[in-house]
Amino acid sequence: MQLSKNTAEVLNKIRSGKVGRDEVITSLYNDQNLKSKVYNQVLKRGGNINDAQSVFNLCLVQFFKTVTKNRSLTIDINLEAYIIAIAKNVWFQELRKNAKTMTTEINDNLDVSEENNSESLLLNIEKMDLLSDLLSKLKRRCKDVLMYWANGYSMEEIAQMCDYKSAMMARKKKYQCMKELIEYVSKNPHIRSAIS
Amino acid sequence: MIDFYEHIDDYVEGKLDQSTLDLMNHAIAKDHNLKEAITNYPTAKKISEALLEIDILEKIKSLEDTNLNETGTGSAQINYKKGIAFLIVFIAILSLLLGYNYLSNQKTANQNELFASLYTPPIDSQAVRSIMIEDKDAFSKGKHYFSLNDYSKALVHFNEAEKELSNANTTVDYTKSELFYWIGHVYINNKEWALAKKYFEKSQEKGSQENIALIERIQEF
Repeated sequence: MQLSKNTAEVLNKIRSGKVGRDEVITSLYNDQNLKSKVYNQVLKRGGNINDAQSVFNLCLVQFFKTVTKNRSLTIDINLEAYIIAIAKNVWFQELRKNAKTMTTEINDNLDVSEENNSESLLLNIEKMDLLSDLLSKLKRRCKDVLMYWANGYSMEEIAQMCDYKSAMMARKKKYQCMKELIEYVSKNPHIRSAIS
Repeated sequence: MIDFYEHIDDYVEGKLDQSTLDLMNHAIAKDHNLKEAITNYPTAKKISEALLEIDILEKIKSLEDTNLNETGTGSAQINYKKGIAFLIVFIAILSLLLGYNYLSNQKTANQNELFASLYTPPIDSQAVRSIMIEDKDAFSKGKHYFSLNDYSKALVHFNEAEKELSNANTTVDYTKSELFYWIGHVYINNKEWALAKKYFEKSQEKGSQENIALIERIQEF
């Protein structure tokens, strides 16, 4: 899949569920042209190759999350330019966080995030490690139902994507899984303080 | 009987109608677990939302691992192939060298065999076997050393004889033809076929043509 392809088609594929999303992730991840442009953004602004790799991964996550969560979002500019804008934003945030530098260049580029309206990420590596035990306990179907529900999909859509007979069945599953998750959080209060 | 846990979403999001809300508030006041579930609901929802990030990152991680494996395997395969190719080239070169060496040795052996069986050394009717050769001319000295199979010393004296021949002031009792004939024999014994042939060609002596023919046969190998 090329980024020059119909953007709406790419966005629909991402929103269609795991199969479509994974297909686009694979395609973008292996797009050497995109990768080199993102790497350049980081390298020319003081980052090293590890920073560039990390920014590339994070900007992909942010892009997919943004497209999935905002299903009415349309992207009028070139998709590659859009992803690179996210990457710049991710790197500037990283620079700020690490207080490596606070230059006017960063301030000048603050409009990037507003321009692409990308979703900020909830997790970092540490938080993800914290959830590894929970993730191993939650069943795949629970994860899928909760994931789509929390990211704005309707019960009808979830039923269709996760092969439930009806929206009611999907709702019931979501209720069971949410109860399980809440119980887990109750038993592990440190997770609440870390995630909140 | 209302399962209040099913209404936590709507309660938190303010979507309950007034009567259900009143019942819910009443239940929360009495049920500590329900109250705690409502407290933990935002965290659980946040985790649910983050499941998408985790899913995407897991996919990226799997692609990274695949790429690393492919790179590793690819690199190992390339190194393996390079090693095999190097080995094949090495074996080929070694075979060529051994083959060339064998053929070369074989050729030399055949040439030597032919030379030994067909070569007849020149006969010097005025041969001097005495060690008293100091008063002899260079040509005689050369022939003397030739008869002793000392071809390098013989050649030194024959070269000196050649200089004597070209010196108009010196009188010698041998001809260029004779001298070249003997020089030809020095080279033929040294297995320097081309030089030997060159000197025999310059000589008019009887036997020169036979030696040229012999050299040509030897060189055919």
